[in-house]
Parts: sequence; structure tokens; C-alpha cells
Amino acid sequence: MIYKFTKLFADYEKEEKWLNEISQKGYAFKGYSPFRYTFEDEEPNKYTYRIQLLENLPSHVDSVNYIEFCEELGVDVVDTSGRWVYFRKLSKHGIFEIHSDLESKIKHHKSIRAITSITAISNFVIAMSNFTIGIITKFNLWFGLLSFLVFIGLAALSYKQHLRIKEIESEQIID
Amino acid sequence: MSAYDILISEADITPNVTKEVSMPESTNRGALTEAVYYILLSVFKPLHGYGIMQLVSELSNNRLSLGPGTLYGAINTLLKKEWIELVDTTNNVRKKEYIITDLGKEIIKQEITRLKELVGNGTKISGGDKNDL
Repeated sequence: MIYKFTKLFADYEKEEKWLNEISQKGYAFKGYSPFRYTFEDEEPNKYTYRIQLLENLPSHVDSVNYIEFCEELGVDVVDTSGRWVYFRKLSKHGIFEIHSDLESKIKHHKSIRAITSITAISNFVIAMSNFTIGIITKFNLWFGLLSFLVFIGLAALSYKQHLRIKEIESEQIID
Repeated sequence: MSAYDILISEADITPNVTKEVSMPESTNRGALTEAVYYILLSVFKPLHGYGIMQLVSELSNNRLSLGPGTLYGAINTLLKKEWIELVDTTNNVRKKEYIITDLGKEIIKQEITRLKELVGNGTKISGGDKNDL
């Protein structure tokens, strides 16, 4: 049987946690489209899921190499969305983490913070241009306001990601 | 003496901190991470990615289980530094295998010397069990 859930996650670590919780309940994650997660019946905890933001789109040669490398290690791609990839690995093969060292973990979080910031700034620019063009229509005002709200949300998210990076970096000092 | 040299001596910074070219390196490199150390050891004989992951896990008594992100990044860094290289696979194009270079072997030698110094001082000062060595 196929199950569909509608959900929005701002934090990929929470998203991973959720996917793995559902896996424990006996449903395997099968596919993703915006706000929509698809699952199928499966034995509980058959797979462990991890999410990664690649440096390039999955079609890029570096990404293709990396995904091939992952497949050699028993890590499969479930689905992709932009530069995001959903990976899975059989749970019986042991603990599955993409980044087993702090340095690559920090690099990953920094990439995520970067894309969030860039998107935030783009929305800010869109908002400002909508508020300041010569002829301002109702559409401009509403669209500008919407963009501005998105900017605020993403800026807050970016700050949260920044704090997370600081948290991980402080672990590094002890190591 | 260039302006750079003057700046460095005034700021009291050791100049060999950021040298990452493949020339004979100075000995003051600092520690290798456990992952890098074990990856280098794993490829004294040609080995592919999955084999490296397995062997590192074995060598470290399951303490180090390298994630694909970590392992892929480490292998690429080691390739760039020329501490390891790709094995010329004329027969099998599918699986890429890696092998340690002479430079890599030299790095391991230096690292073992460093580790011996650490263990030596540690056991001497803290009076550890002589049987540990």
C-alpha cells in the first residue's frame, strides 16, 4: 500500500529524524515532491535514511561520481530535489552517517547556511524592488510583502543554522 | 626579504602553516586525523572505496566507521595532496582503486614517529602499564 504525508521541514536533521521514525513503524520512504512524502509498507527499520545537500546538482559530474561512490558503499538514492539527495542504507549493515567526522559535517552545514542566506537575500531584493518601482500596484504590494515575509523566515532559519554550526565547532575544540 | 617575510617575522607566525603543494614537506605538519591515518594504512595495497571503509573499521576495532561524505572528501583531499593515487585499471574500468604514494608512506613514517613520542611521554609521566607497549 502507498501512503502519502504532507509535511514541510525547515531543518534537514529533523526531516531525517522523522523519516527514520516512520521507518521504525514499518514504512519505507519511497519518494519526495514539494511538501509530499511517499511511503510503502516494509519491515520495520529495514532502512536508515540520511539527507545531504550536494555541492552541485545530481546531474553534475562531481555529483555523479559521488553517488556512484556511495552505491559502492551500499548507499542508494531514494529521491532528489534540487541539490538535496535522500539516501538510504540497510539498517542491518550498521550505523549509517554521511559525515563521520566533524570537519565534513561543518562543511555541509555551512553549504546549507549559504544557500539559505542567498535565497533570503534574493527575497529581500525582490521585496524591495516591488516596494520601490515607479508604478506600485496592489500586486506589487502584496507580492513585496510576501517576499519580505519569506526573507524574514529564511533569515531566521539562516541564523538558526549559524548557531548549529557554532555548536558543532565547539565540539571540535574538545576533540 | 620580501614584504611578506617582514610581516611574518613581525607577527610571529610560523610560515609553514598553509603550504599545501606537493613539494618535499617540512616536518612540522601536526597530527593526522585518525580517519586519514587509517585510510593511508588501508591503501598500502590497492583497495577500492568499500574495501577502505571495511578495513578502517576492522583496524580500529569498529571504532571508526567512515561515512560516505567523510570518506569521499578524505580520498579526494589525499589525491590532491598526492599522498595516494588512483591505480591504473587496464582490465576493470568499474571499481576505482587507490594506492599510497611514496609521499604518503613518508607521511605515515613521520606520523608513527610523532605517535611514538606521545605514547612514550605518556607512559613515562603517567606511569602507565609497561605491558601496553
